[in-house]
Amino acid sequence: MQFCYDPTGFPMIRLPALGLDVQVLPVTKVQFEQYLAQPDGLGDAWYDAVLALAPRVACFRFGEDDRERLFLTGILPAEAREYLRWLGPDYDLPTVEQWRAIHRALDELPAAVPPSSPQGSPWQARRHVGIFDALLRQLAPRNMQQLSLMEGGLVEWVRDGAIHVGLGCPRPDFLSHLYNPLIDTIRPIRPNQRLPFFGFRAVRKIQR
Amino acid sequence: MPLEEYHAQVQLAGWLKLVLVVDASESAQPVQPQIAALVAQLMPMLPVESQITLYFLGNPAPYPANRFAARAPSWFEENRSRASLISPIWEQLYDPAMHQAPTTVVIGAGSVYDIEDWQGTPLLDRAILAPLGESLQAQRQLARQFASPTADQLVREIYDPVVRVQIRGPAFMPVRCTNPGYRVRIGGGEVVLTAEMLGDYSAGLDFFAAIPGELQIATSHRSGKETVSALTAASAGPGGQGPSCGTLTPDETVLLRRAVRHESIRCPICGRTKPWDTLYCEQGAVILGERIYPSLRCGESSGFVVFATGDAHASFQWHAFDVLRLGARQVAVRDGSVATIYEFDDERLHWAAVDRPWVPYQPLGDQRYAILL
Repeated sequence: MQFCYDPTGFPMIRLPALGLDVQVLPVTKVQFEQYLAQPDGLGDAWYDAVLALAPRVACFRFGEDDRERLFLTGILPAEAREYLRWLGPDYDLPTVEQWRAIHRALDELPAAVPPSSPQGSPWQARRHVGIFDALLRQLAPRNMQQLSLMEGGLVEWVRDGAIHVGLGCPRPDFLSHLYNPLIDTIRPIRPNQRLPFFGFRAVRKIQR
Repeated sequence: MPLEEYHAQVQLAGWLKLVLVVDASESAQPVQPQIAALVAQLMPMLPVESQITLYFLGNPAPYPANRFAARAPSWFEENRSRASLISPIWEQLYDPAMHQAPTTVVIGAGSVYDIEDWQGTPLLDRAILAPLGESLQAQRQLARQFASPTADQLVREIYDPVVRVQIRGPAFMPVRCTNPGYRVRIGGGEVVLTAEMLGDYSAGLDFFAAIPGELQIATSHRSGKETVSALTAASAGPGGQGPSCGTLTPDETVLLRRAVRHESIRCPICGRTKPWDTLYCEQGAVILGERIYPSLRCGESSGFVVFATGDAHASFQWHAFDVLRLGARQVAVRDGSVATIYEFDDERLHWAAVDRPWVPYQPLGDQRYAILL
């Protein structure tokens, strides 16, 4: 299993059969905060509105009950794609087909915790270990699909032609609807509606 | 219990190291004039030897603090769109082996979103929040916070210098310390390395220990506050450079070789024959006696000297530290001009004075001998 890292130091898993690197976890709040700290960032008022919908949890202290608060939710697809453009020109939301192919591919891979980024600071290394240790304890994952929270995580924004829809199967405690991400797509009633269970993860085409 | 030699680096400044973080974010804009005024008042009130590093929330780049008054408006403007985040600043200051974090003061208004991530770190423990509007911490009280403080109040909270450092632990015995301000104190079987009222407590240490992970550094502040942390980053084996050294003249080498054989010596100061253990000549120009090895006159004022007699010309090394390593489980500890030999007691697991007295030209093996001046 081969891992690489996005510019925020968070791990991506390489899936050569799909030609994609995929973020191991949905984008976390601490990742997104690196973008918010930029001089042309979205500002405090924007983040206050997002946090009012989906409060933050300390990255070392999330438990089973509030695990989803680790991740950035309540974001709109256009905002997610702005963030991905900041990460780099090769980053984007997956398409519906890509997301489903990733879902199947990770089901076949045994759960393995990626090492922390060799370029990361001591703080990033500590944070990485803290997050993955807690996930291992809470999830006891059998495969990468479970560790990556493609099952039991968020509804994630994906591209569907010219529009964006959601895919995912959150646990019932977090969202009480039952979705089959291999069949159902989820569309908010209003396109500019922030929903506390919508997050995202990035894919990057493997450069040949 | 296996007694081993270790090396560690203590990084601890006695003077004030201040990280001053200014909030220029959206949430602080309504009180920006008050923030700028408080920062401008505060800086000149801090001790002149203070190291102040100025940051803006969200921005890892430091700014020149001494130019704040002139440049504040443009600096506020260029940091206005950054979110209220402390991690970009603290992430670069974070060191898992740090013994003393700098004091961080955040002056602003509105939640610092990520402050909770730093719970349990020395950086947050020593942080002071100074909101001039809304609270800087969202829900729980994670850091000390003083709402709308005056510059005087902040100075009182910030400046609390370290006045004493003590290092101790199971079977601890330091044998080298690069900071001459440290002294060794032994009492009740416990060895404590102590320094008081220094500007800089940083030091490289070589030491014996049985369980290096249990060594502790206790720091006492002027306010009476005490903190205890583990002495980390200890690695097996001694490290660092040896003390200053030199070579004896041919006449001094002859004198030394006679002395270590306990044969009477001819004093190079007065020319008279003297007992082998003579170290000072009272007939010299110095009232309290002149060192009989002229090569040692311009060295340290006192301390151990180790001679190596293996070569044609003997060499010497000064050890200004209180403790001299004599062997794998034996040291000499000086108290003024007197030295006592201590040996590690395996049964009682501490260092105990032995009956054998310290004598000049204490053999150290490998044709090396030590004296105390």
